[in-house]
Amino acid sequence: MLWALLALYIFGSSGTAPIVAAIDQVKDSVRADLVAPQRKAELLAIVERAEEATKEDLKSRGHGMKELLRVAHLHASKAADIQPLLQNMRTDTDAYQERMIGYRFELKDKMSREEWAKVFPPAAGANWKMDRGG
Amino acid sequence: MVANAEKAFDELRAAVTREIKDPARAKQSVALVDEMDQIVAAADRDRKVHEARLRALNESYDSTPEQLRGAFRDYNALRNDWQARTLELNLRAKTLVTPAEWQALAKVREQAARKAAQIGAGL
Repeated sequence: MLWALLALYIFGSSGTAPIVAAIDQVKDSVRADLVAPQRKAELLAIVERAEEATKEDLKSRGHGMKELLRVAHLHASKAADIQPLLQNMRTDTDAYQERMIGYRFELKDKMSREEWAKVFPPAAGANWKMDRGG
Repeated sequence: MVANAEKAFDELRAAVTREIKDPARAKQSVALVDEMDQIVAAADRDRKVHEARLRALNESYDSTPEQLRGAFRDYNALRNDWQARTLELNLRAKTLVTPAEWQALAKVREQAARKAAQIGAGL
């Protein structure tokens, strides 16, 4: 359980959960009530690429984390054994974050302000300053 | 998750106290677990703040890619710091605990690693 927490909070988190959730919300909305079939297909194609990127990232990050934890568990392992594995994970995570930003803006650029507001009614995430206490 | 974290750290504290017979080193090892507990709690708080910030940026039609990159840069800097501190604790623990004690604690670690594999990498 301890390493599950480390995996979740310290080593495994890419911080992209809100973007993944947002893309999912767009998908539901597009399927439910958005627009002409051609545009719908165009938007869903972006969603599909984002989902594929997430699937690949989860798989790759899972492998990376497993190897990192395996090496960290060895009594004889040193920082020099662990750092390269960590650096690889960070590089992969940076690339994934950038891809997800790209997909989010691809979707947004194909939607009107009104359509976007319908999927994301302003309010839910507007209080981040309050959440961090200032 | 807070309850799970507390349970996990309590289990580890108990295992450390059980397996390390030398009271002084056991005490120092429990202190390392306490430090880890604090890091995970801080990581939990930081992640929630980051996610709220990202949700707000996502909801705004006028957000720019650079604003989202900025949120990730800030988050990654915090994450790198947690990771560095966690690895430092891992290395300090290895200097404190003998290979035999480390091995005796392996079962706790292996169970935890299996659980980690089930959870997979968090988003």
